[in-house]
Amino acid sequence: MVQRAEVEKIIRSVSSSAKVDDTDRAKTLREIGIDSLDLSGILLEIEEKFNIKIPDQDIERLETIDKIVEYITEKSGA
Amino acid sequence: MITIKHIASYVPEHHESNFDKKTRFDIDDDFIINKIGVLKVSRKAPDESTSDMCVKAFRALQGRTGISPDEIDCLVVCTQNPDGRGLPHTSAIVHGKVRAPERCAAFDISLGCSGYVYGLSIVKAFMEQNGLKRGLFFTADPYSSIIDPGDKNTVLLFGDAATVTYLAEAEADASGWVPVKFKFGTSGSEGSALQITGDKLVMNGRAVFNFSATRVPPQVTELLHEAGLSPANIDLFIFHQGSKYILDTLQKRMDLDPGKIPSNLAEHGNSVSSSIPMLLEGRLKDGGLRNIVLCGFGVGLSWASCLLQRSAAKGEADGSKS
Repeated sequence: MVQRAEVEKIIRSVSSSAKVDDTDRAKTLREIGIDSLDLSGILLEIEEKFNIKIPDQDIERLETIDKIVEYITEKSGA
Repeated sequence: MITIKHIASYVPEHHESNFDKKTRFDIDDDFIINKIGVLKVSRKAPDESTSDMCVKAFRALQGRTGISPDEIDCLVVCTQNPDGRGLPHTSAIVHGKVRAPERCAAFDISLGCSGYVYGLSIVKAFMEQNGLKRGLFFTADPYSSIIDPGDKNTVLLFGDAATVTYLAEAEADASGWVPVKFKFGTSGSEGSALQITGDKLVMNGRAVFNFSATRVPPQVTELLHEAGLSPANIDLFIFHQGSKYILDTLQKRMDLDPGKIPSNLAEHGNSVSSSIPMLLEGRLKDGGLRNIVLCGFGVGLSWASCLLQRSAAKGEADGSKS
């Protein structure tokens, strides 16, 4: 199981302004301050760290940090 | 030995401000300033051709050096937006417009953002192989003619510009910049990330970002390794001006000193193959610089890196910092 803290760490390293500590976990990535460029950087770091490929068509599913965690767990079998 | 003697550029006067496009593309000041880093983009006049832009860069070079067209042995243009449909080649059109002599060779190179680095190698080798003494290498790729004004991915980024690099035999009494080592790369299977669809440019920003972030650092590292240098020995890393986000990412991934990575994105945007020579232009006469790395990457997908070293003039004190 991938830990949310691992994803939060990646997001912080890419986007210092992203509000990853926001208590409302339903907030979308855009709502916590992650734009399309940051998202590209975050996804690349995730691909490299977890050795997975994230096709463009899957990006729509990755609306929140929790959904990213869920996706990585599913793809990596972790 | 062929060296870079001078660079001159031409940037169209008309600019479009990206701040005027905030509402249309739902972006804010932070995105413009800190993410793409492009405040405005230059736009050529609708009736201004690629060859016209080259000629204007050449006039700027003449103003600075006094070079006469009669002296030119070869004239090369790097563009993927040639006059007409590329027949005749734009370099031949420029040749005619500047009235270069008939013995002057002229040909085009079809490359995008890696074109300046590839072109330096091609022109230098061509001149050395054929004993040519003075060459002009132009870059001019006015993307405004292929950009969809409604496409946020491209219209905010690309600006029009042209440059000309004057290469000539090294003179004993003058310093010069020598391209000493090159590395090249191509990933044709990823070419659709940046291509013409219909008659407009379409860019998959994420694919281009991934390509840049993963291919550039190892190539630059390999270049330095083969040259027996480390990043500490390099005075400047002049990267293609893809976007501020890409530059920042390269800086972080390669752990480079941000002060060694110049940028002109704010004023000129991404001017394709002209971005690197425009940055180099103002630094050729800086006697404190000794080693410069150039790296272009983009259309193809294609990437190329080069180590430039300053050769000191005879009797000149070595101003090297390394």
